[in-house]
Formats: sequence, C-alpha cells, structure tokens
Amino acid sequence: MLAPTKSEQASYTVAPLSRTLMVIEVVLPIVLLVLGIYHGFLQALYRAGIIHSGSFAGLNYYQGLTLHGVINAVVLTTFFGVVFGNALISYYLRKALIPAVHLTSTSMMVGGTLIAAVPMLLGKADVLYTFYPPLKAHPAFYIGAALLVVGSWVAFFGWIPLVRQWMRENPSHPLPLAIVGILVTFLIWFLCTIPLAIEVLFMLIPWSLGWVEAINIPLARTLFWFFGHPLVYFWLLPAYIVYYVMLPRVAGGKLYSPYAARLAFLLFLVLSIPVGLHHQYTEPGFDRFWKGVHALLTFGVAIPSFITAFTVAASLEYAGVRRGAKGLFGWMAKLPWLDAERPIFAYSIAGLIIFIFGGITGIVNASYNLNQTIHNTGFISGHFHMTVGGPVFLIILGMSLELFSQLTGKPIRGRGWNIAVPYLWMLGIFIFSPAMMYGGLLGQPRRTNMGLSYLDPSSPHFRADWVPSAMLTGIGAAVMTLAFLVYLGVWIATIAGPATRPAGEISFPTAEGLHPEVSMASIVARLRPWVVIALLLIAVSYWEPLRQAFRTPEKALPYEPDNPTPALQVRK
Amino acid sequence: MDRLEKIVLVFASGLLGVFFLALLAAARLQKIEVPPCLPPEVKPFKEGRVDTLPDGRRQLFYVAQMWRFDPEVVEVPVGKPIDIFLSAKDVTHGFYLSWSNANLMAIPGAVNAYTVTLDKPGVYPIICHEYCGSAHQNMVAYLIAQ
Repeated sequence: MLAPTKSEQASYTVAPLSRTLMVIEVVLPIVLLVLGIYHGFLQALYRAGIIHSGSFAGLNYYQGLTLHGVINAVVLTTFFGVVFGNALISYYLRKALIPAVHLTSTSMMVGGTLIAAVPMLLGKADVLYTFYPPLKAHPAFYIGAALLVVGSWVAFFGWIPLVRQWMRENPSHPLPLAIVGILVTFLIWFLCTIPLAIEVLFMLIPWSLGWVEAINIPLARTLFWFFGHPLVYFWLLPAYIVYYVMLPRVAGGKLYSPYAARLAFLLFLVLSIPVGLHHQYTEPGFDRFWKGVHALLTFGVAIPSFITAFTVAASLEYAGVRRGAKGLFGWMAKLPWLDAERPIFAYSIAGLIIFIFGGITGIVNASYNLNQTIHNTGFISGHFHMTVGGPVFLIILGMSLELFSQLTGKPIRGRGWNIAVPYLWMLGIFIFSPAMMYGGLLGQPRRTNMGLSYLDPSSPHFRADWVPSAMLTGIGAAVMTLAFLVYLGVWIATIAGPATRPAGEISFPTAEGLHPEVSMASIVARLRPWVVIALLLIAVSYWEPLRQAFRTPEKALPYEPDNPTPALQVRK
Repeated sequence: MDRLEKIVLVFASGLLGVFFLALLAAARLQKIEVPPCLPPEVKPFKEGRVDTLPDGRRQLFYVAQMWRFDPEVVEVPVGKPIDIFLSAKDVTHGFYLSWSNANLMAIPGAVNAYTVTLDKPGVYPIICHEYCGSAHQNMVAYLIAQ
C-alpha cells in the first residue's frame, strides 16, 4: 500500500520531463531483463545436460552468459539505483531534479547500454560480465559500459546541490533516513567505480584498440575486485532502504531503531570497499597476510547486516503485536503476507527470508581457507542467487512496478498474481541455490557449459555423480522463470490498463521511529567523518596488495575467446 | 542504542570473532592455507614437467593454456606431499584438483603454488573452473594416485 496516510507527507508531483525520463529508466531494464532471464533459464538447461550444444537458437552459451550477467547484474541494478534515487530525492527533499543533469545522465546510461549491447548481441564480447583480461572484447563493449557508469555518476552529482540546499533550509533536522541510504549507496558506488574506471580507461580500452601491446593481469584483476565487492552493496543498499524506511510502515508498525538504521548504512560506507581481496584468495602474487586482513574486514561488513536482521525483525514483531499477536512467535502469523494491496510486503519478506541463507553462505565464501573448497564452483553461483538474485532482485521487481504505476498513474492490475511472484521466485531459489551449492561441493565449476562435457554421457569427462544436482538446478530455474513470466503478465496488464490517477505523483510509505529519532549532535547524523574513515581503511588495506600486483614479472597479450593465438593488431 | 541492540551487536561480533579464530587455527594447526606469494623473481614457465626431488618428493609444473593442461596425465604416489606449480600461457584459467584443497587460479604473468597430499588411490580430475574461451568446458587433466 503505497498511498500516503494522514501521518505522512503528501505525494510529490514530478515534472513532466523527469517523469518521462524516469519511466524510461524503469522500463528499459525490465525489457532487457526478458533476454537476461531467458538465458538464465537456458544456462540451467545446458548445465543440467538437457542441451548438448555450444549454442541454442542462435545464441552461444557464453554469449548468453555474458548477457545474463551484464543485463541482470549491471544494467538492471544500475538503472534501478538511479531511478530509485531520483524518486527518493524528489519525494523526501521535495525538490525538482535538475532537468539538464537528468537528461544528460539518462542519455548516457541508455546510450552506453545500447553501445555495449551491439557487440554482445553480435558475439564480439563473449567475455562475461567480469571481462577478465587477457580475454578481449570489442572496444565498444568497454566504452558502452563506461558510459553507463559515468551516466550514473552524473545522476548522483545532480542530487548533491539539492541535498545541500535542503540541509541549509533544515539546519536542525538530520537528513531523512532514505536520503542517507541513497547517498551512502552512491558514495560507495562512486568510490569503487574509480578503480574500475582506471582499469577500463587506462588498461583495457587502449589494449583492446591495439594502442598498447600487453597489460599487467594481476593489477587489472585487483582493480576489478576493488570495485567488484562494493558493487554488491550498491546492489543491496536500495533494498535496505526499503527494509528500513518502508517495510515497517507497510507491515503496520514502526522502525524499531532509527539510530541502528543509520549506523548500519554508515558501517557499509566504511567497510564495503576494503574487502576485495577475498575474491582473490586463490591467486598468486599477494601475501597471505593481506588476504587475511581482507578476510577480517569482510567479517566486519557482516556486522551491519546482523544489525539489519535484528532491527527489521524487531520492527516486524512490533507490527505483529500492534495487529494483535500473542506469544513469542505469534507476530509472524499476523503480518500481511498475502495482502494484495501491499505488494511491497510480499516482495520484501520473501527477499529477507532468502537473504538469511545468502548472508550465511557469503560468510562461508569470505572464510579465507574455507574458500579453497568452494572457490569458482557452483557453490558461488548458488550463494549469489540468494543475495543479488534474492532481496536485490525482488525489491527491484516490486519497486519498479510501483514506480511505473505512480509515474504513469496506472494502477497495478493482476494484484493477486503480483504478490504470487516473490513467493514463487523464493520457491525456485530454494530449489536452485541448494542444488547449485551441492553441485559445487561435488566440484562442479561455475560458468561452464557442462552439457558439452561433464553432463554429456558420450563425453570421456562425463560425471554421473553430478547428474542429480544438475537436474535439480534445472527444475529450480524453471520455477524462477515461471515466476518471472507471471511478473511480466502483471506488467503487460498494468501497461494495457487505463490511468486512473494523475501521472507522476510519487509517494512512499514512511515508518516513524519506535525509539526516538537521532539528534543533530549524534555521530550518525553526520556523513563526513565516516567518509574519512572509509578512505583511510581503503588506503591501508589496498596499498600493499596494489604494490604487490605492480611487481608482476610478465605482462599479457590480448586473446579472442575462440582463438588460442594472441589477437595481435598492434599499430605502432 | 537500546540494551537489546547492544546485546545483539556484541553477540554477532563475538560469533564472527570465534569463526575467524577457527579459520586461523585451521591455517596454523592443520596447515589448511591459501596459496602463498612467491617472490617476483619466480618467472612463469612455458612447458609443463614433472620433477622428482632427491628425497623422492614429486613437483608438478603445470601450464594452463587454451584449452588443456600440460602435462595432461600424471601418476603420483598416495600419501606423500606433492608440490604443484601453476603457470598460465595465454589467458586466465582455473585449476581445481577434485576432492582436495588444491583450488587455484592460473594467472598470466605470475606463478601459483600449492602443496597437497592425496590419501586415497584413484583418478582425480583437474578441472578448469575459470572461463577461458569457447572450449573451456573440455579443459580437464587427470592425476592418478597409486
């Protein structure tokens, strides 16, 4: 239920230009997602040994895997972060977005996405969404991706003067929690995309164009993971904004502790970046000591998630008790699980339940030597489908539909079907992810067309012991795909329906605090000290690993993914 | 923060601390480690080979390349430590010796290393688990422990 109640401020009407741009920002990634989900399903069929082929219906396995990663994990999440931020800034600060900035940012993001899509669809960028060199993509792939990222920076830069203006106008109030959340999200994004920009602009683009012959691979990988782990918090924090700011209200309660909510966001700002080496435990060239330091800091970044688990559960308990629940666990039964008028509850709670397991398996991955058992196996894919494929994906789906409805004035149609989507998706995930992780423990590699070898009975590498888990993965993926088809049906019905409300009136349910709001004097009411600590921690944790990466004895030439001889085209 | 929140925060941090100490204990006492950092003087090698040290210890030098490992089939003794060195000739590859902790990345430009002891006789597939191009799924070698 996203309609404002008496205790909340009135809706905010977005100007027509921004409204149109925001509709594009919501709809484009959902359209692309059709392709992303399609190949997600196909991948599971290849891996289950149902498809024994390099490609299906004109799409190569690794080309599809690239599309699946880029669309689902980069395009969808970045567009959503930006459009959600645009909506939060407009509504909570009650300020119009700067038209020129908004137009520039949306154009860059849409243009970049289309530029990168061409080589991907032509099979000239089968390098997966991590684009690890020395595998080389067409330069347009890197250029398009860079434009998408810089476009999202522009959106963020456009919010800053509005935030500063609000702070001048409201000197005695801390920034609204939703605004703190989105600023932290984009501060993390901005800080962590700097190393990515260095990798792409100064290493990969000149090298893919043939201007330089060889590059330092461990350095490129270190810069990538400098970005790659904070990236997951850029995905996750918009969902946390919904959990803290909106969910308690939608459930009929209050936010248990505004202080804890702010502290959690600020701890993410401090701890989400200096942890990237935990993706590189099994690589040569870095001291064990520094791998251990990143392991310890990764455990640290679990703490704000523990805070969130407690605060959100306490807020929901309060809501259940207010709805008349008795006993220790009675509140769970009283929550609006199946209330079709409150779809955000269903999308949130399904994501939260999935994330319990996503978080625990994440701690397993972070665990230094324990990672030796599961690194690069199906366990990893099983894990992150319970994080980015769990709370992140479900909040993006639920909130995208809400935003579209508010921006166009068209009420969501097929409301019962809509709340079935998150639960069906959760069922699919709870088949898919355990099967994938079990397969990983048996040694199944991730990102591999197993239908051509390990799951092909006619191959000398056939592994009969992998068949049950791989089949189960396929069944889980089928259920997930079904959930997405239902979701698409709700979209189509909503688009086809009439507009019954004025277009562009946005409003978000906003929970009051159960405990008192924080005061301006509190350390959690400020942002700057936390940014300073974050920068210090980054410098300490990355100085030595980067120095070690620079010492790599040899550099590497570029390779096309289908050719074992180097793609030498150096123009001197 | 209220009392309950403080309790939860201390409990969660303490639990993570215990987990971390358990990892350190496994690394120090049981010698379950991540790959070490070899000095930069150790240059990547281009040919795979098998060495036997004077004391009988086996050293395997693997070159990962599109889309095979060199050497492809190696016999090793059961129950004896084996040193694995790993170099990548072209792109990044993975190296996962099944049912063991020898789970390594083969990174162009640097040499990776790990020591493993196979306690049971059998055929152990070594699987490339990092995408390395169009025939990645066929990149398998075998270690025969006897």
